[in-house]
Amino acid sequence: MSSIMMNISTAFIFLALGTWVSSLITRQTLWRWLIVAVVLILSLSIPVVDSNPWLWINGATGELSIVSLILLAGFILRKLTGRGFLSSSTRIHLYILMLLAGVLLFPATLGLTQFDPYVLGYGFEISLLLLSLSILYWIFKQRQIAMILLTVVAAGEAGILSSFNGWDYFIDPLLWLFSPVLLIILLIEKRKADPLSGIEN
Amino acid sequence: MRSLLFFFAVATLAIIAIWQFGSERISWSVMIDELPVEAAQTPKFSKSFIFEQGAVASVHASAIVSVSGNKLLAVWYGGSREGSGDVAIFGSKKAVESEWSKPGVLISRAKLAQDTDRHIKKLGNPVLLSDGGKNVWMFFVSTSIGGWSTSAINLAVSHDAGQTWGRAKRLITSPFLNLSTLVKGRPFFYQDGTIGLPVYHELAGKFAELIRVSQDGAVLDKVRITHGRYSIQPSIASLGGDRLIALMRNTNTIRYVVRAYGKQGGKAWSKSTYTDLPNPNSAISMAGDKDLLAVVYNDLKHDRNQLALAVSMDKGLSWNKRFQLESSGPDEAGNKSEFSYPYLYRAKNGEFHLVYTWQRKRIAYVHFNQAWLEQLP
Repeated sequence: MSSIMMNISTAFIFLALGTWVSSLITRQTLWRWLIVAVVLILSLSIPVVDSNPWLWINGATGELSIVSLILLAGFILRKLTGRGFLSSSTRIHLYILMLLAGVLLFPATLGLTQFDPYVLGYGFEISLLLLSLSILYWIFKQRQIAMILLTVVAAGEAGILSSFNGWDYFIDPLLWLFSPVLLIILLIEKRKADPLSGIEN
Repeated sequence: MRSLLFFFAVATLAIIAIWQFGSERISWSVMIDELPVEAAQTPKFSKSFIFEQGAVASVHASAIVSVSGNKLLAVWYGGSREGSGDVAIFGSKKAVESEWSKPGVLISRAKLAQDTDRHIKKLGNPVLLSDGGKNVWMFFVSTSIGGWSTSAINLAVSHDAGQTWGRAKRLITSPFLNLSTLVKGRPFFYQDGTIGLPVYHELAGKFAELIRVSQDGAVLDKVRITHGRYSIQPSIASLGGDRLIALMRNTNTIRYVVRAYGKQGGKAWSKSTYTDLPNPNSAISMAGDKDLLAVVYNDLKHDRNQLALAVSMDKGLSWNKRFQLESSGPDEAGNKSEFSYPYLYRAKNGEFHLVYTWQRKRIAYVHFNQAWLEQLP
């Protein structure tokens, strides 16, 4: 399973890269698909130091979190079909949540604090926390986020990643590092967009 | 309203399920230690090399364990130089009263890349655990990007006493791209059959940890032994009951071996202190029990050209240097000698087996027993 989820993660990264590049080059859907296909083929075929870009990304990032995979899937669909499934409000809340969670988790796991919050992920504490958050988001009408958090908990209980730690289903450092950038981009886009347009997907 | 009720029903069921799973969290019950069956009466000591002329230019970081009853399996990594692309993990076996077998490659970079489906830049630091029969667990580090501090730990398992090795698996030990968990200390079994693996972290912080791993490589729990930026490469021994001791390599300028005591089978650790054993920022290795602990270390503050054996009879509170294993000055070309990365192992019959890096060219092997230790001045 670990190899499958790792390769799915890498596929999502290259698909996202391909769709982003294609969106810069052309507006035609067919051409966008072709460019994505070319990026995928190149990722598997360009030799890079006795390996290829796909295996390098496998080695560098491993498995992405469930939240990352959902966000990437939303991004790829939005760019390729013009219709995503995550509202901009959902994404803004998720980026803020990831930013805050990452600030609590990553510096501490690297040794900045004596307490290691990552340990909590081996028990039920993180799952309970995510479920509580999920209920709160549902109550406050952020139902997409509530469902995403529920999906994270379900994936963790099912053990679809190779990690046994709940944190790894929820957040990864790539998502944390990109969250502030994506948040700023999204806020700028929102400001530029018609305020009456509502959900932009 | 119906969707709200549905959501709360799902969430409530999930909470109950998680609570149930949570109650099965891993037990830190007393570890099984390799207690001596019968200490020999006649002092035994021998010193040799596992191979005279290596097939590779540079070797380092060896480990040893007994397999299939009374055979020994030693492993190390070697290649044209540390971290080069041709580095592989080598192994050699030895039966009682016989010579070491010709070293062979156990895990190559290509095999690990294939097994883990990723680019592998380099590999090293193998450590071994055996059930006394034919099952052997080998943990070792590898990097895909960057230097050693970005390492992750891998596990390969052999069911034929080290002859062949199954598909290697990468352990998930850290949320930060799984970077910077390394291994050097000897693993041990817990009563429930899970493995206690002393590990360390050296990206940003430099601290020691104990992780619990299932026999198929799932990381189940972890605990920090130390904090901060000064102690790595923990070596752990049992003090009986649920008590443990860890000695660690010191990476700051104080240059003394770091010590911490564990209770509840390693779930909780005391604040670390310094021993009176000097440490030139180099690996140490400890084995023994509550009555006698032995440690092999570089007995200098700044170089690795001396290697000594010290003993503690008071559970690691005080240490007495008993034997000088190596001591050598620079060679004719002015190159410094290096005797480093000891790995001390106590077999079930109570005898000690030590391997260490000898000038980065050979792996030295030392065999002694408790009777020999006790007759030392």
